Amino acid sequence: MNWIIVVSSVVILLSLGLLFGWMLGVFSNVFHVKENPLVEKIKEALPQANCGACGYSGCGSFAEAVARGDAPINGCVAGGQETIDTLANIMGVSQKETQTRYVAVVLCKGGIDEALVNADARGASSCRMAHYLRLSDRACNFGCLGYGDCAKACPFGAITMGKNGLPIVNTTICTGCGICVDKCPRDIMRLFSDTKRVLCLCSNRDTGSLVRKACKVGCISCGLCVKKCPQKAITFKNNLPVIDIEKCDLCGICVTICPVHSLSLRQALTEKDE
Amino acid sequence: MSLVNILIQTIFSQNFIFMRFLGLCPFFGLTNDMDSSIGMGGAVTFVTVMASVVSYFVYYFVLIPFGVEYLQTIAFILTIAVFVQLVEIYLKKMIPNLYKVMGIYLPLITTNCMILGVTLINIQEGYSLLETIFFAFGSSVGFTLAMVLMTAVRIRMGDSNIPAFFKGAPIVFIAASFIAIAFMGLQGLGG
Repeated sequence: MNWIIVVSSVVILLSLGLLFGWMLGVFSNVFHVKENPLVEKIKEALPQANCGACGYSGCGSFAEAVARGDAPINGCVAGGQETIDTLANIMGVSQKETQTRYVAVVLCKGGIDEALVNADARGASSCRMAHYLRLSDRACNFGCLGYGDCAKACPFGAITMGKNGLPIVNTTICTGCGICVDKCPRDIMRLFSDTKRVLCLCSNRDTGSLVRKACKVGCISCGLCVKKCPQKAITFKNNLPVIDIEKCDLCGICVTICPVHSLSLRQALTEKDE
Repeated sequence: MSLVNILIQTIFSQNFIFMRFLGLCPFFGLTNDMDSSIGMGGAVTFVTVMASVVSYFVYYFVLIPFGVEYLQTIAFILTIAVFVQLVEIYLKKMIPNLYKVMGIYLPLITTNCMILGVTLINIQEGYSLLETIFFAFGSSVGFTLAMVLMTAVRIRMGDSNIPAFFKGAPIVFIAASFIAIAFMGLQGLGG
């Protein structure tokens, strides 16, 4: 083997590569100055999850919009207060008022043990598929399907699928970006402000007798909570109780008297608050 | 061969896309709107001409003196990659909108076989520097022409009622083949 050829080829290519690389380096330095250094700073302060909750295609374009002044500095939902403060520092704007924190809530309690089965359907691999192709064996047409589309979609790993087949939202990790809300084909995932409140954890809009056939813990529209509420804060709409949070004083009477076994109304959204 | 002949040949009768079938990836991928196809044509023109000139020097002043002509392919790919990077850096800073539209197709110019084809044919045909520049310029103008033609066809296609099984890629391929057949009619033009 002729070693000179081997060595010379390597040396020539290497030197060509080095020369070109140096040229590129010089060129990119020359052009790098043109970019707004503010954008870089803002980019670093963002969570880089590219969740898109701000309405821009990713953290990069949001940073550019903030630097231009097109986007509000509190536009990043995922980053929370911390990011807002950092951005306020970078942009030299004071942002005193605290933004309401939102978390995702699963509005269904019908796990494997509670939700009744009325069909033999298999083969679905996602909630989306199960919902649109009617591949669910659950009798309830409104409840959780349990395939975990929300858990898969969560960019922060805040949702896990519990043993009973229901998603569990880790409210300390959840940033309220709302991706799970979009992914859930049955609109069970909803965003709520992270405050103490009473929620009806059932989404079934059917009448009581139909709900009975579908789920052990579904709201049967008995109206007991409406009658017993001392504040008259509860009304019924679409066979589901609607709680007026202005009137509600969180007494918890409705939660205790709700006749459906495992309560359909639950007080306090986060355990953190208690 | 005169320079005008080279231009006419590369633009029409030996059009790289319709006659040699090189560089088809951006041809099918980026012909959805006029702006991006013209932008792509411009980027490809710059890269092809610059890469051809530099590869001419690399071949005759580096590879031949050292007797390593067999390195031409890899050395040319290196040259092309550098110029694609240059264009990318330039567009990112100066025309970010075009940069966003081109997306993945911009770095893909690196592997656009038309450009490598041009540089290799230059060497194979033994063109002089001037002929090299004309050949490179003509082929990229031909490429841009093809892109613009295809875009115009695709824009019209958007309004027409296409059978379901032809929708999307199939009808685009068929249209492209018709244009190629039309270009065959120009065979022999420019000597």
